[in-house]
Amino acid sequence: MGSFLIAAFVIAPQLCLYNGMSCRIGKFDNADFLDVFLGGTRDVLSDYSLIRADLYYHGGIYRKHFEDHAITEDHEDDAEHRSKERSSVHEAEKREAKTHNPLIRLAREIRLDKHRHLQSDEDKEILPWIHYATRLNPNNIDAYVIGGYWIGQKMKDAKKGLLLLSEAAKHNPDSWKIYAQMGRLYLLELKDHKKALTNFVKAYKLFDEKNHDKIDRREICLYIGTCYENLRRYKEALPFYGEALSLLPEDTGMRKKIEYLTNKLEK
Amino acid sequence: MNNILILANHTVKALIRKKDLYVFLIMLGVLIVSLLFDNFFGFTGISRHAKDIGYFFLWMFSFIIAITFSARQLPDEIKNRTVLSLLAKPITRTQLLMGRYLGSLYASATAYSCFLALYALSVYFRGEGMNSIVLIQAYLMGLYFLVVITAVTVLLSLLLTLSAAVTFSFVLYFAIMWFSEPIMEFVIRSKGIISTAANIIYYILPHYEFYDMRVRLAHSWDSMPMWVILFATLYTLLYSGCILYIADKKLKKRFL
Repeated sequence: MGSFLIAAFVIAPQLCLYNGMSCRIGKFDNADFLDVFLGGTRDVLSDYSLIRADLYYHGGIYRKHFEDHAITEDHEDDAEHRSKERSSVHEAEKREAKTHNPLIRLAREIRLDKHRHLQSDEDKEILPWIHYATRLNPNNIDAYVIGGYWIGQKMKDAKKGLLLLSEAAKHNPDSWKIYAQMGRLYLLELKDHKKALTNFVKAYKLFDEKNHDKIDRREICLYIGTCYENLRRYKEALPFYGEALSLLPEDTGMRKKIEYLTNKLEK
Repeated sequence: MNNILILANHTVKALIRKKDLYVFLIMLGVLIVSLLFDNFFGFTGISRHAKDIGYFFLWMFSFIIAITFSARQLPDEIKNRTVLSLLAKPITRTQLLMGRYLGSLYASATAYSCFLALYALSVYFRGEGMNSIVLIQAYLMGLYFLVVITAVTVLLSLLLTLSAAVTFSFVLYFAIMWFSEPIMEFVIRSKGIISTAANIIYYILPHYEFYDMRVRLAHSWDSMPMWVILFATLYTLLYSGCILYIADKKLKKRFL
């Protein structure tokens, strides 16, 4: 049913894409076509599209299924994840083995009981759902960030990833997550430390009391510190490393790094 | 048997006369082609969503044709009193039921075959691979689905009014498709007398979810073992046989 709803609106997002998110339809002059056509449903459909993207990543199997029954085929998964899944599989199998109902046995054989992750040449298969998610709701920041990560880092096409994130920044100029992802692409993929720094600093400035947690803040501080360090601006890197350390005082590696940079500056 | 085939042929001609099939075929073609040739962030060769949504729609269109055709057959005959002239000829009520059932099945299977052919051709023409064995199994399972849904709808059309039969068929389908997993879990986990009752209900319910091979097809999963297909065949024949037997009993008792 969800697919039906999404597919029914395939044309609408396309129209809006080509007409700059604004269409003229009868009396709805210059109104946002999607708002008129879908109303609040577009947010729900956008979130649903993102769920579909996750579903496609797992070979079409819903998360609720593989939590109960699945065995992952991905050998890169951590051992704990696999052992948890296997123990739940054994429990489910024990329960199902007890039943004498042949229809349940048939259902079990028909049902897909393994999930698998997309291989590198199949990565692009989730893109349609990212596309629908972002077209249906341009304020779906998670969809843009995931899309930016997927295209830029996973599929190694940083320029296209940045194009998507630039569009996201136009719609959501106050989102630190978008600038942070742009910074990651510049730093990790394009090795452009200056642009990475600009974006991380923008992200840092957009932090307020509610929109992030300690882990987010620490990550951005580390990135800013790294950018400054790579640009050999050690003096400016130190306060950010210091803040990162204050957010996680048990990080001995960071403590050593700060000492090393301080000594380097003193010399 | 000859009488049954004549009645069935008449129903198929109704499908050709009506515009439903052509409208659905055009809609499906436009949808699949637009999905296959879509460009997402400048990347090409993306096919899973087209296979997924395309198969979903061909399934839904066949399902709609099956329900609307099979639900209409007998109530229309009874309402228009044409059933009396039919039964005045050497045709038994069982032959009438089977003729109309096979006709509806034949019509929906024809529509389904056309839709699937268009779907497979579009996907192959675009150069996107599909596991041929899974495609054949999906075709077979789709036909089995139509066998069951047509039988259930024919029975419902004898128990309820036309609109109620159509509505109930739709509701039953979506309820089974959405809640099959929790229902199965409940049957497995229940104990004692509740377990017996749950198992009986599980046998009574039509298991449409057995036939849906969309995920296997779209996400390039392996084909099902042969014995599963055989088991599904057996289930389909037994279940639809039982449903048609009940429908026949109901029609025989009905005052026309």
